[in-house]
Amino acid sequence: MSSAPGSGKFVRIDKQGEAVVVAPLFTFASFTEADLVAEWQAVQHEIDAPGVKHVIVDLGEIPYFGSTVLEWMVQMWKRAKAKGGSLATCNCSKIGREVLHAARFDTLWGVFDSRDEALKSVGQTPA
Amino acid sequence: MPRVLVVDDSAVDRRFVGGLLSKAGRYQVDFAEDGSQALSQMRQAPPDLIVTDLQMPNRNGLELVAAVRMHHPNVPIILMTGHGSEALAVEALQRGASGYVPKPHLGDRLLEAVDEALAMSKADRTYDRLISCMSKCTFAFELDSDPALIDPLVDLVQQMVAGMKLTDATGRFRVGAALKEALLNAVYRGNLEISFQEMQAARVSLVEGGGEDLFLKRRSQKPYGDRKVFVDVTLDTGQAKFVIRDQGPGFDPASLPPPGQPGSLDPEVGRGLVLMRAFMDEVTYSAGGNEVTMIKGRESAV
Repeated sequence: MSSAPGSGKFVRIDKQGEAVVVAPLFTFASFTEADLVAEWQAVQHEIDAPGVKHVIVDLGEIPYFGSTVLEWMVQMWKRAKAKGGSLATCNCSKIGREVLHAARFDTLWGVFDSRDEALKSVGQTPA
Repeated sequence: MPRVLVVDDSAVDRRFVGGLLSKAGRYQVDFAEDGSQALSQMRQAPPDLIVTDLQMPNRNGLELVAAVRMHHPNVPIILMTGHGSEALAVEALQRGASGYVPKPHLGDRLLEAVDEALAMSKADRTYDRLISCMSKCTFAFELDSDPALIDPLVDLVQQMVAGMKLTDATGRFRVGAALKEALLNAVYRGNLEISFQEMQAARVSLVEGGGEDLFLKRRSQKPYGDRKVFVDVTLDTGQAKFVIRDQGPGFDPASLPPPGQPGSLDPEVGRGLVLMRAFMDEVTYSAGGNEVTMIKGRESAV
């Protein structure tokens, strides 16, 4: 079952079974931490909700990203891992894949072409 | 004749908009039923302009704007907005749409909006041609330690690098990503002296409530808040060179692991440096550690 917990200024959050799908809408660098807090709280709230185990990060809205987005992804991954879940990424641009590869996160997280493939990788049925 | 791609899931609206454009007699009109179909058509042959509905299945107008900005940055997009979608339209404009026309006013405003966007696009192309003739360009900035200035500077450099044909579209993003990391390092680690651990702790306390924004606090304190970031950019037909200097205490560059070594993954050393090294041909630090020089040579395939 798919639902749409909400779309903020910086991220869009969807829910699909046991997975939360988080789509960053900007590369974040220009925003102060305080700007991001409310939406980060919403993301955390969704990941921590009962019945949620996995996080899918849909990177299709941003052409590239750097260490700031990677750091947020690490935080989400840790939260999912603590619940026995995992993190997968999807819709990554070519440069986005290079970023994940350079930081070696492509060995830790699945990198998929589509959201459906990412959802299937964590055992969820796409909508 | 300019080619206009009309994207709308409503066949009635497609016919109406297509009719308006065709009747004008100065555009070739193609159609797509949603954002995904539009992108698929664009892979074959990008149009000169897109007119799109906002609310559609399989990639709505917002998602289409984001994807077009990423893959076809020179194609202008005009949105058709229905009642109640004004907020979405504002968001789409922020993401790079050229303009919007409320659906009830399509009949009297669409042609004008299309002509205007096409004229601007043509002017942009002429400007692009001029930039492609540039053989050398240098510029220098003295920035406050304000991350809000980073994206505009990166954007400007990306435009110049791409305009001078030093890189292809992907290379432009590589340069942008590396430059952004260097600037973030100069602001946060250099001038504001915020370590990775301090940043982490401040983030946690902010999210859990009651914490203060360490970035804002440091910016308001001396000497951190008075420090500048100096950026020198030199672009010529052979390479792009960036020198970024902060006024922080610096560090011992000998403490950095060699490129590609596992130690580079340590967050303390910085994922930023890993990305800078991955996307630039050369990255070197001054002996004091507060000046980094990055060089990206011209990509041969461009």
